[in-house]
Formats: sequence, C-alpha cells, structure tokens
Amino acid sequence: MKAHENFRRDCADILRSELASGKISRRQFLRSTAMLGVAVSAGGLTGKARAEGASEVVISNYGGDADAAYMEALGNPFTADTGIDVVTEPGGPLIGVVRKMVDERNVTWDIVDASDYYSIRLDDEYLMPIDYSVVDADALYDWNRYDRIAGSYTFSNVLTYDSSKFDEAPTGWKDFFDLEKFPGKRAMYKWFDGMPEAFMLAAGKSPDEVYPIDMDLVAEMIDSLGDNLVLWDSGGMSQQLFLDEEVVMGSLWNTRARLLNRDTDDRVKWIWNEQIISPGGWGVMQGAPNPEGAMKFIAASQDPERQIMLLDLLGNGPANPAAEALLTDEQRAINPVSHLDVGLVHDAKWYAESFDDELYNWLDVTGS
Amino acid sequence: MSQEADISSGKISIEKPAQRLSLGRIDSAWALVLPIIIVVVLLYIVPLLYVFQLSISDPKWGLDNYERLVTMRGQVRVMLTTFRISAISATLAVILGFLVALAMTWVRGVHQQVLVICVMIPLWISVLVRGFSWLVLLRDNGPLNDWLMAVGLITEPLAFVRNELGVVIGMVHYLLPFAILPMYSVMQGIDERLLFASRSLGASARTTFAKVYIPMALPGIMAATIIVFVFGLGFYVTPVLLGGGRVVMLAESVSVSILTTARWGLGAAQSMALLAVTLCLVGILSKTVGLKKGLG
Repeated sequence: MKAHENFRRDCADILRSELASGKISRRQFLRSTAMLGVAVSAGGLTGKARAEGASEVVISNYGGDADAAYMEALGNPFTADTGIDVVTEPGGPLIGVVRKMVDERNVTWDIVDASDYYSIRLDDEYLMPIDYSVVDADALYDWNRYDRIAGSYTFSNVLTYDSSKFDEAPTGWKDFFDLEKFPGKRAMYKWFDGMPEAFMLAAGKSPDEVYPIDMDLVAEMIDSLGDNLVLWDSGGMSQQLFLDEEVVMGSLWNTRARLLNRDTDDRVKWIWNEQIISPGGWGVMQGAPNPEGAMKFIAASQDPERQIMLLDLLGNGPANPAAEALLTDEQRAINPVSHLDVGLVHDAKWYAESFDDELYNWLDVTGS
Repeated sequence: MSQEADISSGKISIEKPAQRLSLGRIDSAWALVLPIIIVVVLLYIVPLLYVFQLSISDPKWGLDNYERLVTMRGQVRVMLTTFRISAISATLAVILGFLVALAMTWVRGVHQQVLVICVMIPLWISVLVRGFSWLVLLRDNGPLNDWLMAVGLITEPLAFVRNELGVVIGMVHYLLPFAILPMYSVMQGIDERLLFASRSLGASARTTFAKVYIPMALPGIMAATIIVFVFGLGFYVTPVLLGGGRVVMLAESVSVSILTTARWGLGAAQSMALLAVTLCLVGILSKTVGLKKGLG
C-alpha cells in the first residue's frame, strides 16, 4: 500500500527469488533480510520473549519471511554482542498505526521501519528523539539524519528504458514525456511516492524549484500521455512490464532496474541522471519497552560492511557515508548514493505535509 | 400480465398458507431465527453503526468527511466510475447470463448437467487466479493478440486489459454465475404449457417470447440485475489487476483512506455513501419493476 512498505516487501521478494535461483547463498539471504528489518514474524517467541522485558528489542516492519531466519541473521549476532534478543513483528508501522498505538498507551514495539518524513509528521509525543550519543550522527548524511529518524538505507526512482526500442537513449524526465521522440507506453508508480518530482524536472524546473509540487501541471502532463501511461503497484509488476515488453520506459526503483538490466542482458537500462532519492530510516516508539536496546540496535546497523552487503544483494544504497570509500567501481555503478550529484533527494517536508492530500489528486488525474 | 403471474405463481413462488404471526403475540417461530438475529446484530449492525460514528467523528465531530466526498477532487469521479463500470458489467452479465439460463432450461439430461457444472466451476476459482489469467491471455503480447496479428486481422495489439475494458471483461466473467443462477431458478419454473397456449391462440413465436415468456422471467432478470450490480460495486481485486492501475473503484479508494493515508473518517464516509446510494437504487428498482417478485 504505502510506498515504503511496498519497497520493503519488494526487497524481501528480490532476496527470495535470488536465493531460489542460486544467485545468493542461504547465509547471505538470512543476513540481508535481517539488515532490512524485513522479515519475519515473531512466531512462537513473542510470549516468552515479551516476558523478559528489557532484554529484547521489538522491531515493527511489514512482514515477510520466517522469524528463525531473522534471528540467525541479525538477532543472534546482535544478541551475542549485547545480550539483547531481537524480535520482529509484521505490524506495518504506518503513521496512523504508530499514532494509534501510542494514543492507546499500549506500545509493544521498540523500533519502527520508517521513512525520513516520519520525523516531521510525528513529534516527540510519538517518536523518541534519536539518542545521538549512542547512534553515530557522523555515520549519516544530512538528508537521513533527523531528530526522530536515523537513516537505515537508501533507494531511488530511476528512469529505466528498453534500449532495443530506441536509437537514442533518453537522458532525463523530459524525454519520458516526449512521445514523439520516444513512442510507446511508460510505467509509473501507482502510489505516487517518488513520482511528482519527475514531472517538475521534465517541465524544466531546476531541482530547487521542484517543491511545492504543481499538481495542475502534473494533471496536464498525465493527460498528455493519454493511454500510454501504465501504473505499477509492486516491484515485481514493474519488472514484468519490461520483460513482457509492454512498456518501453518507466520510473522504477533502482533495485528492480538493476535486476532487469542483468536479466535482459543489458537490453533494459537505467540512467542515474535526475534520480529521485528516498531515504529510509529507523524510528523509536515513544513509550518503547526497551529504548536503550533500540538505540543500540540502530547503532549496530550502521556498520558500513553490512550496508555494503545489502547493496551487493539488492542495490539498496548505504545510509552511512563511510561506506562510499570502501566501494568498488562495480558497486558504485549500482549504488544510488554514489550518484547523488546528478540526483535529487526527496523533500521530507513536502512528503510530511502535502503527500497524503496530493495522493488523492494523483489517483484522480491518473484515473480513467 | 397479472393474470399470467397468478397462473404461474403456483410454481415460481411459495405462498404461505396463512399468516402465522399476529399482532400482540410473539410467535414461537422467532426462537428459531433468534441466533441469526443475534449474529447479524453483533457482527453487522453494531460494526456498521461504528463505521457511521467514525465517519462523523474522525478526525473531529461533524460532517466534514461527507463534505469532502463532494468537494474533493477524485471522490465524485471514483463514485461515478464505480457506478458506470458496475452498470455496464451487470448489464452484460445479465444479457449473457439470460442466454445461458435459457439454454439450461431448454436442454435435458446430461447436457443440462454439463451446463450447470460449467456455470459452477468458475465459482470455485480464486478471483486472483482469474484476474491474472485474463491478464496473461489478453495483454499486448498475449496469445489472443498474437493470434489476431498472426492471421492478419490487426497490425497493432489491441488494448484489452490494463484499462476499463479489461475491468469490465474480468467483472462480467466473475459475475456471470451470479446472474445465471437466479434467472435459471425462475425460468425453470415457467410452465411451458402457457407458451403452447399462447401459440395455439395465434401468437407468433416472437410474440410469445416477448409477451408471455419474458414477463414471466422478469422477476428472475430483475433479481439477477440487482444482485450482480450491487455485488459489482464492491469489487476490489479485479479492477486493481485488470485496470492497469488507472481504474480506481470505490473499494480501492476506501482502502487508500484506511491503510495509506490513515483517514479513517473519510474511508468510513465513503463506505456509508456507497451504502446509502446502493439502498436508494435497490429501493427505486424494487418500486418500479417489482423486485419482490424476483427476490421473494
């Protein structure tokens, strides 16, 4: 449903299919799902672990694989280091859900798998300030370091295209809307996250003029695409649209663009130019049973080596700037954060204040 | 017309021999329906009232959510899209279903059993599987478009899916059994001798069909229409799968309000509006075309 939730689920999907096709080992799979905080139901552990109170950390995310996998991957190493157990709950910590849980004074989660703009939408009443004496503030960029959110990893929306359909490669979002030069269907994300910026850039606005988003202009540009616009609502669907050659161009998550490029032997390509970057982050629930443990967990997940492993497997960009220097050229080629200079980091403030309203408008203007 | 209905009523409707319930005395038969009444009240009426309360209390008390339904871009359109697609799908399902029901009443023995099984089987297949199957069959590079292009009927693939047409195809397919079965049950009960009587009195085959058969089948047709239309209003999966993301019907819009933007009040108001409009439509239909005969 929500962009971020879908992206998390999508990461788990990618890992599972990579595991199934033998491209990664079981151990890598387990470690990386753990890094994602994707995964894994609390299973039978919940009751027993709950009773132990402060000796565990509960992470709310969007569900996925088996809890045993999560425990083996990050839970056990973290437990070995700190003596704190890790439990995940597929509670889907959307903003409304976080609010409700705190309002009802029944907080059972410590950490939520969230986005940068949570820090603005939710004040101290709902999310605890990140303890930057435990979490390393220098291990974050200024665009994923917030009062109540600390960056977990980074993904982006990139212009992806089928190179067999055109003589000339598109170079930016302007080309995405140029039906004469680049005829054929295009795909965009149904839930709008990471889309509005592309319209503004295509309309010739400079990166600092992108916000606030001009929705009338968006509506006009949608109309100009007519039946050539297809909306994808899951990472798998966006990939399938290219594999079936139903679309010639699309705004895709960089993780899926990379898989497409590999699986089509470079037929489908993507460009970093004008990529729209979305920073994901950890938040700690106000009233969390184990806030100290939560901060320690967030600090442990800042390890650049683990973040790079996630990049290798999925293409998720490290949230820690220290990772950049450790990357090989091949890794840089798939890392959205290595191409910040040509991209645009989304404005958390706009997403916090306007996104929900504009989502209804977007569904209206894209509707048939 | 009324005479015909009277003649056939012995077959198609079950008349109660006498009114058992009289005023001032609670019939013991009520004890038999008490459990279901309790279930309905607890599991349906109470939650429904809660949804209504949500619609006028979240985020604050008042009619703001209902105001938004008519002023917010998109809400009116979602409603219109929902009614338009449901009406088109219901009409097609009833027309096609009528033909099938007609065939089912005409054929005998093993042919009839085969038809009944063919109608029932789709009911057992998940709506997801059916949606994806249509997608695979009808997409630009799917078998149908490939075949049409191979035989030279078309040069460019036809857009069957990922648009409103795709949604209608998927919905008609899903709704067909629900259209066929009520019509079949009524049409099965039509006394064939009335048709012979009509012919023997000099009416042509066409006149007999239009003036004798159709009026007797009408209650079934109306029941089928209302059932599939109201059913269609709540469709979620089919429009999502086959609409290419661009056909947003009411159920999906409600889910956006509840799950994505966490505006539960607005989602509740949307649901209440749908309920109200649906009840009005059913009311109008029942007044104008005698729904009672169809559902009674």
